[in-house]
Amino acid sequence: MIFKRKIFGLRPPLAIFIISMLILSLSGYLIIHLTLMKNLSEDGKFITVKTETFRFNFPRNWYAYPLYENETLCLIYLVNAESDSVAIILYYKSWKQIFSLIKGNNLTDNLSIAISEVNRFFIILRERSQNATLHFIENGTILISGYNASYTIFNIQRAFTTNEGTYNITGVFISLLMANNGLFKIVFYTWKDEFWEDRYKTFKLEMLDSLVIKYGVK
Amino acid sequence: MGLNEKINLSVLLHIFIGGFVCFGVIFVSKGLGLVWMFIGWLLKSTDCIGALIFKEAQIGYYLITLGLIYLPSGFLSGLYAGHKIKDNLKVNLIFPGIIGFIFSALLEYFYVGPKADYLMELLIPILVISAGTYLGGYTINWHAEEKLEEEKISLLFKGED
Repeated sequence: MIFKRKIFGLRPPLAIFIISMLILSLSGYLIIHLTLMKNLSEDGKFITVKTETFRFNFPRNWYAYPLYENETLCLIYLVNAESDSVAIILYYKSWKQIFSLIKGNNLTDNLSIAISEVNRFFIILRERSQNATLHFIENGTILISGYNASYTIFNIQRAFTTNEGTYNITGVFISLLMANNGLFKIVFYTWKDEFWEDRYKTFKLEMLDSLVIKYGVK
Repeated sequence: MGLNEKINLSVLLHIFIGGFVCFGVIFVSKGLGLVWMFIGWLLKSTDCIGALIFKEAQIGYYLITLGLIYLPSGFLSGLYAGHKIKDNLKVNLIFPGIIGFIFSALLEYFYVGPKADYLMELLIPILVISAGTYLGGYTINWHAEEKLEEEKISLLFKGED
């Protein structure tokens, strides 16, 4: 009696390998797809992210690093679909941390926090690009989930250099310090200056306006 | 005694080369980002890339890397090792995949730093690579097992005659 020793015409180990590879890849993709479906907005264009304290939407075709959240901090890092802009939300939950940040840098209000952070960002860039220069374009207030936040729009000339050339950065830094809800730092910037207006409009309409702050700090 | 030493050295050499094959595949597919480029393209094309913000989606991405990086790297190293080493496959096929993974993990440790999750970053990939190595090794040696069965059957019939 001769036993058939092939699966789909292939040697069994090879068949098992191919089937295993397909199962792992397809199940992985299915999990990603189902996760997306579970967190999609009603119109299907945005992903809704909910944390303990806030929720917001961002376009589903933006790349998102995994959300990081612990007892003191929440960090969200996004790259837009064109891969030329970055949006970061940093939320401090711990008053001890917020207090040391404010006192350590002699900060007095939302605007001073925003300006201080832009300066810090500029110093980091200048370590690699000695000719970089910082310009503050506009300061003001902006409503975030009904709260008055301060913003500063900045431009850094010759911010960094790659093989393709030298890039300028234009961005906005928003700071919102709340008595009961911690400190929000939101930054959005692009290294394609020519598209700044368009990118900022997309960011404001599709992400910033959807930010809803829910609960107080524990 | 001298001939046995030569055979053992030869087996060791092929095990290490098999390990290098495994390391090479992991380096090209993970280190150079080839698999991520493919997955990124696929997720962007289907507008799913934003889902990676969630932990559940990260698990899905992890399963894909197991299927497209670790399993094939083990399989290819097993193909080589199985082709070159014919004896005692059950024991000899353990090593190429593990050696390859160790090289890859060391390289990652020096460039990226230590991993936080030992189960998902070390134990599971080793198991998947080892499974791939055995599948590769036995794929290349499967016809030998078929021939052995056929010889047994023909001997049986000759004996009856």
